[in-house]
Amino acid sequence: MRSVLAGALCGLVCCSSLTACGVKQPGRVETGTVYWVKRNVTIGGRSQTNPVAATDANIGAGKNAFGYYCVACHGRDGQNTGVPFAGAMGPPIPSLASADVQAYRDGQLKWIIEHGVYPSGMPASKGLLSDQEMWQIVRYLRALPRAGSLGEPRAYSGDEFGSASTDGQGQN
Amino acid sequence: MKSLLRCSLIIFSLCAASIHAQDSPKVIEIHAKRFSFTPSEITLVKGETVTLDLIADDTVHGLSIPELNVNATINKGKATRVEVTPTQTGTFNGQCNHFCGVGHGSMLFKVTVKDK
Repeated sequence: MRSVLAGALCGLVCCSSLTACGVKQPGRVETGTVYWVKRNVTIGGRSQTNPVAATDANIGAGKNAFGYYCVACHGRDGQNTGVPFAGAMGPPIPSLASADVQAYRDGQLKWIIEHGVYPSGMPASKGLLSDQEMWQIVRYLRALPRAGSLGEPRAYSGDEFGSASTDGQGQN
Repeated sequence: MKSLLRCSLIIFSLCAASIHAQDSPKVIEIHAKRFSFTPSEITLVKGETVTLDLIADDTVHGLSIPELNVNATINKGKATRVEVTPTQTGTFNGQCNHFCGVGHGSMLFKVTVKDK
């Protein structure tokens, strides 16, 4: 009975230590390995092609949909501009213009948007966004603007509750 | 003479009513509320102009139907009027194009266009 209790306690401590880890940055080998596994094994949608044409209208619509909430982590430009915690996450939020991200196929990018990526902070957008919007976002990701050219997300302006909120009342 | 005038007046009134009827397109009222349109499907006739009266019941929504050149923002408390004259038959999908919350992606609309 004692050994069972001891084992259960050990298991509990192990689980607690795993779930309570602080954020740490992965090394180059870990990052490279994970990207390879994701690109070639775990991320679906490899065979899916984008049904949305690469027109200015669709890229603009993708940018608009990207602005719904993707900007909170990726910045307006998809390159983390103005996102204060982008480099402090584990793993850090990648620039969507990076070679690692751009190496995904269109279908894989759409799959990532739709299903999210475990265990990163990337959420699943199924139901939140329509299929059309997700494909349009993929179009936007393929045509990202110059880093910093669109400014920073409004959320990080330091004025979330309006300029008259210093008295604790805020503005409606 | 009186009867002639009366006849002319009746004919003129009928013509005016007919012209008015031709000028006024059919109006379809569509309500948008998290996370659906009511009705969510409509059927139109190719070549016939209709007015869509878009009304948001709770918050700001939008309606985009690219093939029918519909791209509207629907503000709460004020009807947004959109005229549509379909030029081709088929089924065309629309959706809310103003992010409105967790079910935004499932806020879809369908238009079927038939021949006369």
